Amino acid sequence: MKRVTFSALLTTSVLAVATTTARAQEADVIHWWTSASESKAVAALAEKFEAAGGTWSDAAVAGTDAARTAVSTRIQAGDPPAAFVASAVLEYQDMARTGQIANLDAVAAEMDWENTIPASLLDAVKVDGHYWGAPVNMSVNNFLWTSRKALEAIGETEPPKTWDELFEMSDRLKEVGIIPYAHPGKWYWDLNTFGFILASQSPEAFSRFHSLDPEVFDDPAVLQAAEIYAKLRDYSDSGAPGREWNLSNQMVMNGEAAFYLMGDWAKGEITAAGMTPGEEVICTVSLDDAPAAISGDAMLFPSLDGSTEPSPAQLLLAETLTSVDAQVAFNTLKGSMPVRTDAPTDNLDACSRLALEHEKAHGSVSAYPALLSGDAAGSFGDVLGNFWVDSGATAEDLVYELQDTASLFN
Amino acid sequence: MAQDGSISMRRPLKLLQGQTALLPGWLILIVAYIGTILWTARISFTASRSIPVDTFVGFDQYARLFRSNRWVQSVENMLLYGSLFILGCLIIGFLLAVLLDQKVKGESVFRTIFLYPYAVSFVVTGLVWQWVLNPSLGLQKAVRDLGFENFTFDWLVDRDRAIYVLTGAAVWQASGLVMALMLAGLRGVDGDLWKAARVDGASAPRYYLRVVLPLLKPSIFSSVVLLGVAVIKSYDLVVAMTSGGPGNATELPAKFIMDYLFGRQNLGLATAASVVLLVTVIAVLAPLAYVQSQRARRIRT
Repeated sequence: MKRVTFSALLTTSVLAVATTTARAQEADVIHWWTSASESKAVAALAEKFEAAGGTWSDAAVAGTDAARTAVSTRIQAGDPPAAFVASAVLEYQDMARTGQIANLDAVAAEMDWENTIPASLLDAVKVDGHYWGAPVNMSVNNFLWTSRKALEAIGETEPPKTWDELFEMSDRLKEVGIIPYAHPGKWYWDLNTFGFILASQSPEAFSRFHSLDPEVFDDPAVLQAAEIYAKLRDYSDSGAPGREWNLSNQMVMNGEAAFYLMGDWAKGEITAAGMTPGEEVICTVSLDDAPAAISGDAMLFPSLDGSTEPSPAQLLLAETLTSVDAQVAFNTLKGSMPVRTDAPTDNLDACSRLALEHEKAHGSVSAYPALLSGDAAGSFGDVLGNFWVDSGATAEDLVYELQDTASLFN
Repeated sequence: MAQDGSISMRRPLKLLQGQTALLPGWLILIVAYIGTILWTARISFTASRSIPVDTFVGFDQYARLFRSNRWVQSVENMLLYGSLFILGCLIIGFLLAVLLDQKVKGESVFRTIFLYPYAVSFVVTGLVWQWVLNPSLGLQKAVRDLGFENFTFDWLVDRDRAIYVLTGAAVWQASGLVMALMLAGLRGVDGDLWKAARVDGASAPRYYLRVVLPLLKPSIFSSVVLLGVAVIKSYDLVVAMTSGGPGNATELPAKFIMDYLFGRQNLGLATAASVVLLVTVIAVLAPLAYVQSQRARRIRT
């Protein structure tokens, strides 16, 4: 009895696979966009894809880790989805190099990615000079969020523009009993924050640091960044280690703390609390005219039938996804920014517009997930996290430790 | 004669039947346990990152493992956490069992209360203790709000003390289990022993330490084994309570392995760490198992 049901099950699943491959324009997409605004955005994207002649088959998985597991298991089991969402192509570089991911060079050329998408986003979807993913959206990661209430407490109206100004204000904030800096203390925020500081001192040192150049540690910019990071530690509270970013956000929203650096996703929490980003919580991009640190999700297309050439459905989806039309429709609903520089900006909110202007004036760099392997990122994060809780360690110690860690990967 | 013959004919058949019945068990043991251990050991000698590859690099992963401050600290933490945890659970569990053994009223109520934390998962334990001990949310803030402005209790974010907080939470969770095991043991102790000890003029503490404790050896041994297993696989409590922080202060080997296996995508390093952990466990257990088997043999003969 049991055997019968099992074989029946097997037949149906084989049939299911057969029917998916039969319909050439159908694409099943694994993604983790399941919140209210995100699923609306996905629906808009699906609509554009269907209008272009494709058939969207939704395979949403809640949670990034669960989605990643679903992707890996299906690829390993030989039943890959037509497309899936990833934070960075780097994560899947082993699969790209072993021919398990489709090559998108043709789509990139056809849609003129080079001239219409910021270079730092394109770097994030390239491995060994080839395109393995399509950029989906753009987020600015290094907004300095400032509590207006805290500023008013020390008689200021404008947020700081340089680190010197920030530390000068911080001294006065301390006197009135406000925590100057609400550091989010997970290792990845430690690493992000250090990267933002380094980019504010020297974008060149930033990119050399993230490409694990052993010489970069002789650059004075790295020591300067370490000094600012050490100072930030002194101006943060003792509750920082291990703190989630939304708790930091809350501290800034209610004026308990004055500043913190975080990506544009903080807007969602601010709006949910009934406030307006840019009003009660002011947004500016980093300090010292630093480049905007940008990141974005990418859509990857597993190789089907053993070929790294994308299938017709995959090709169509990649083209649709990076068209101006779909970019605007998707990102307006999701609350992020279109990747295309030629997309109209009138739908964007004040903070996003400000970030775009900043990016035009001061350029952009990629945030670390596109640049470092999980291993290297985690190891740097460990060093920065340990430094944060070791009040005896100096900026020189930090540079030495970072250099030592970088040497593991050369 | 004829009877003997039929028995010797049947014996191999019976044996064959028995072995056939055991076959699935053997298969599971060989493939699922020994097989995966060998596979893990093999990967630890390769340069595998997110997917297993066959590029052999010798002992490179092991060299990197022991160069890693985080791994060394994880192992040190495990030794400290493990010994305090096992000792703490044994002492508290034994004391609770002895107290309950005094034929107190409402014993079953107390027993339930003391055993209750064990029914709570480590994740929940970790979260609750994290909230209670977080300086800006929990105990410290509550006492300060009562008017004691200078009250400070920030062990959870103090890198020299966080490991003790972790141990405390684990002891709170698991000592109920030890209590239950010890209580079962105590119920097996003959009540006449107490009368005899009293006649000899022994005090109650002396009676429990000198007479009862040696009788509880089997309970103690199973407690130590259960707690030891809990120490080796400690992962969820750390993740929920401190996520290894502050810094690396509460990192444990199991968390190191999980981090490198998935988030950090370094299969080679993670499997090397697993192998080292396994070898350590075997090194501790082998002498213990030897002593046990020798003792069992002595009892039999």
